[in-house]
Amino acid sequence: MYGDNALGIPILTIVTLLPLVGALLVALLPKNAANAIRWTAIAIAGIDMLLMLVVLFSYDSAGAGFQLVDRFRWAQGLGLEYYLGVDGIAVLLYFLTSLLSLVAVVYSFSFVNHRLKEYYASLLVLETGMLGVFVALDLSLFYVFFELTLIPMALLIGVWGHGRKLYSAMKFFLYTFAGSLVMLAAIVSVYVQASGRPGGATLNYVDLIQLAPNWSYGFQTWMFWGFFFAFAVKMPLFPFHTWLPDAHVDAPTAGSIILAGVLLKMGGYGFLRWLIPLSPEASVNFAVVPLALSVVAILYGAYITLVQRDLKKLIAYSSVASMGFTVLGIFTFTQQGVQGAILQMVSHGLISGALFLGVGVIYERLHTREIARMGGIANLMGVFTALFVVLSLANLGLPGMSAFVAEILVTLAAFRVQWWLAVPVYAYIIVSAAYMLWMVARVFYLGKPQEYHEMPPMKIWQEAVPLVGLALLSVLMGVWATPFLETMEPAVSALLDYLPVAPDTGTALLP
Amino acid sequence: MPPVVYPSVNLFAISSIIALVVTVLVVLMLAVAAPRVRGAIYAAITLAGIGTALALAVAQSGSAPVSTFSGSWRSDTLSLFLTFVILTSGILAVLISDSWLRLHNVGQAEFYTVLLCSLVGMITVVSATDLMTLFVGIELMSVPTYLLTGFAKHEQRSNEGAMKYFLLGAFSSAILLYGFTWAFGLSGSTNLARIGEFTANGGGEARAAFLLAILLIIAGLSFKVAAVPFHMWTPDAYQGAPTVVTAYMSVSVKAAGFGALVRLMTEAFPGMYREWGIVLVVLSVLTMLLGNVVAIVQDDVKRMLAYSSVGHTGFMLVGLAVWTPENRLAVASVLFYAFAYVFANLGAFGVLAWMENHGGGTTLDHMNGLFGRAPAAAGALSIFLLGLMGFPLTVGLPAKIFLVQATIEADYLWLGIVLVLLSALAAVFYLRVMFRMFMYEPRYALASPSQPLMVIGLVASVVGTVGLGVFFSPVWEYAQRAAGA
Repeated sequence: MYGDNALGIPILTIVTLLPLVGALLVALLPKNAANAIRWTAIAIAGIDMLLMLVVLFSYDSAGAGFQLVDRFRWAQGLGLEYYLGVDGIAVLLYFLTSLLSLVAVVYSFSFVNHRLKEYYASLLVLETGMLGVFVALDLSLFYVFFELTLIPMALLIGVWGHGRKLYSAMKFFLYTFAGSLVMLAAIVSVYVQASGRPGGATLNYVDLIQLAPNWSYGFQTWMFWGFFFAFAVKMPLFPFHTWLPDAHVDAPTAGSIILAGVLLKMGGYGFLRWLIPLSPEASVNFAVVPLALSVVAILYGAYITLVQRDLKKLIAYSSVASMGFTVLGIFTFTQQGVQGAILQMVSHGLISGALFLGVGVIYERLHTREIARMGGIANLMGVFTALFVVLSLANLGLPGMSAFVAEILVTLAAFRVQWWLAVPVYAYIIVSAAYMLWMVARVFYLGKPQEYHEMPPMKIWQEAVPLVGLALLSVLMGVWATPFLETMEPAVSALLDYLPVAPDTGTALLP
Repeated sequence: MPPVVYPSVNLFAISSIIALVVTVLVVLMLAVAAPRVRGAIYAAITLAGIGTALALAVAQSGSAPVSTFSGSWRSDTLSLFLTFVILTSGILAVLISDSWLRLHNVGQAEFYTVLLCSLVGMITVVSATDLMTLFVGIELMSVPTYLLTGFAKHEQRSNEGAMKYFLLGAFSSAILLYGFTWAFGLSGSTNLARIGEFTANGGGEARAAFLLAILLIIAGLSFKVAAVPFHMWTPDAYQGAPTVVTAYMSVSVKAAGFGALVRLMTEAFPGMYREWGIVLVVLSVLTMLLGNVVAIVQDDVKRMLAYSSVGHTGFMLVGLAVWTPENRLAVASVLFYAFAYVFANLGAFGVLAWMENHGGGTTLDHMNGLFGRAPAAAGALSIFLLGLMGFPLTVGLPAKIFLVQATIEADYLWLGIVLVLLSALAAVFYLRVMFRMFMYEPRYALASPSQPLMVIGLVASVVGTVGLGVFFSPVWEYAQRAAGA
């Protein structure tokens, strides 16, 4: 019931905590040994990535339930556990985290030059926090990891960022912290509610989903709203998204990669892992709220992207729309919708991570992010232009790329639930094409850059390889999505079976 | 002539304060006999004395509750838990005070004497089960803290703070005493348990008068724990007092004050918990709100922490306000919070004192770039602030969780949510300090005198803040036992 560990070694613990150990290691190195610090961080992130491949290959994608489980009692008598495990919902996001962290660490090699120790330590602590979020199966542990990501990310924005970095860092921290404190109150309620059961108090996922269907509707309602804000802020779902553009614009490139690539996914994952299972009945009844907000997010996000003049802000706002698809998919409560949502999270992680890296490439050379001051980059950096255009097309959902598969699944699911729910999505398809193509034309093809007449080519390992790799993964998911979908299928089916919905029509409540 | 009956006296139950009083005498005699002693001899003697008192308290913790001195003193798990809290803050206070005393060449013997006396008072407060003993304890706790506040006698602010604290403190003692006389007059006894019997059914005909007594007592003790609207002295006294003194009294007086509140409310007036519960709910909401909101606009970190400590009083009041005879968690959560608060708050003020000793200041500008200049101090201060904020892996998180849990047990979830939202608000000003330390360029230089004892004290506070954040369950279980006693 609690899952087992076929591998026999606590691989999840190792993968999750290795970056933390790496952070300590980095902190112990002398301050002026710049290259030693950089290489240590790269080595740690690289080893972590290799171990992640072990996880991926020892994960049995046909198996339901949790695998590679590590579990022991943490606070005796209080019923709190140290409980890690992956299932089909988590495993791809877990992998994505490690991949994008490696990209971020490698990318930073020559672009970050001051306060190196703190920089790499922050990145590595952040990695541990994010990895932990995706495998923690005890609510208390989940909360610890969820909060652990806040400080390093705020530091990354505030110390190594640009512009109004302090304002943005503070805004980022406070928005998320406020949301998660409400979640904390909800967690404590769960604990009190669960402490009446025969086996004593528990916050363990497997035990809680046994209890949750029996909870009163009023309590489930509180669960829903208690968790909703924390994850909606993180997603970010309209109207809780206002921290995102600020945080992205002022974050350093590596910070943006991680923020867009992984941190936002913690919200979508939280919906699937905690909010919905803990309020099975209420979340079906209240689904109309996130559905409506997600449609607004998709349309509003798309239209507001249209008017952005800052390249980074443009991609940030397009994330709001893309993440809207995730919420839309999740709350249709259909197999296609939820699978599409998870696929959208992974795909958006790859694509937006790569796009932010691309923005970094331009910024390092032109020292501006204003679209009006760019132009004609295609003449100066041919290969890079090709890559960036491919990624832009991926972002707008071109068939053959991962976002297309995800968005089509979500749209289909939405259509089957209520046909008119899919209508705004078609508008999105047009608008998203408009802003991405408009941006590509202005930045790469029309006119000339005003400041530079030549630009140094991409650095192979820091810029070219990650961009190519991420683009290839996106293509792979676009043309051969079956293994990815199969991996998540058992877990998603289990979740939907657990909910009081018909598997075909999903959210039945809508008129 | 009737035979003289001596009350049965158990000296072991008061052995902690005996040890402290003996230490006071030794310190004073030493100052008279050898006025020119140098080094940390006074600190060492004081530490030894407090350590002995702590050991004696530990020795009592296994045995059953002892009631002695005709029922005016009780040594049970509740009093022992708070005694641990108070003595821990005493030890940490001595550790962080040593270098300040020596740098400013202030009378060490006097300082430690007064500090030890206030510890005796606090232990009396938390162990008293009789109104008279309680009042004596409160005075014995308060008068030394007035003195400590004014200990930097050449500084105007220290004098001003001490004067304000003294006048308002005396005023509040009078209100408290007035409440005590009402309670005594109505019930005919000064013994808490007797009063408890009298008010068990809501006070009967004397109900309205008892309510007046309760209101007066709550008002009087609210001064001691700095609850709104009786907090006016707090910012000035906390800012004016030498920082090491602020560190000490912000945690210990609060713990003792809450001890008195818990004893009085749950032992003398348990039958009227609905009435005083409402009063405390209102006070707690006001206190949380004012403390945390006003702290945001402060430019001086010391004053900011003073307001934040008002906010923490509000959090702790929440725990007591939701007390019902069935709610085992209410008192336990207050006790745990008091213990948690010692490490985080004393540590935070301790780092400020450390900076002052290094020639720095306590304004926000002085925090700029501290991480570059003194990474250990900045790291420690961050940990303390995160602890106060209630961040995971620090003691502040379980402390807040237990309070919320207590509110849920009592069906006061909304109060728990107010607490949680105001904690999020509190993050604003704690974060601002941290941002200054990590993200700004340094502005002021720091000298570097060696402060070995201070470092020990701060390291111990860090260990307490983080250690209890992870391994909180033994303390929590002990607090629950204390609440059940």
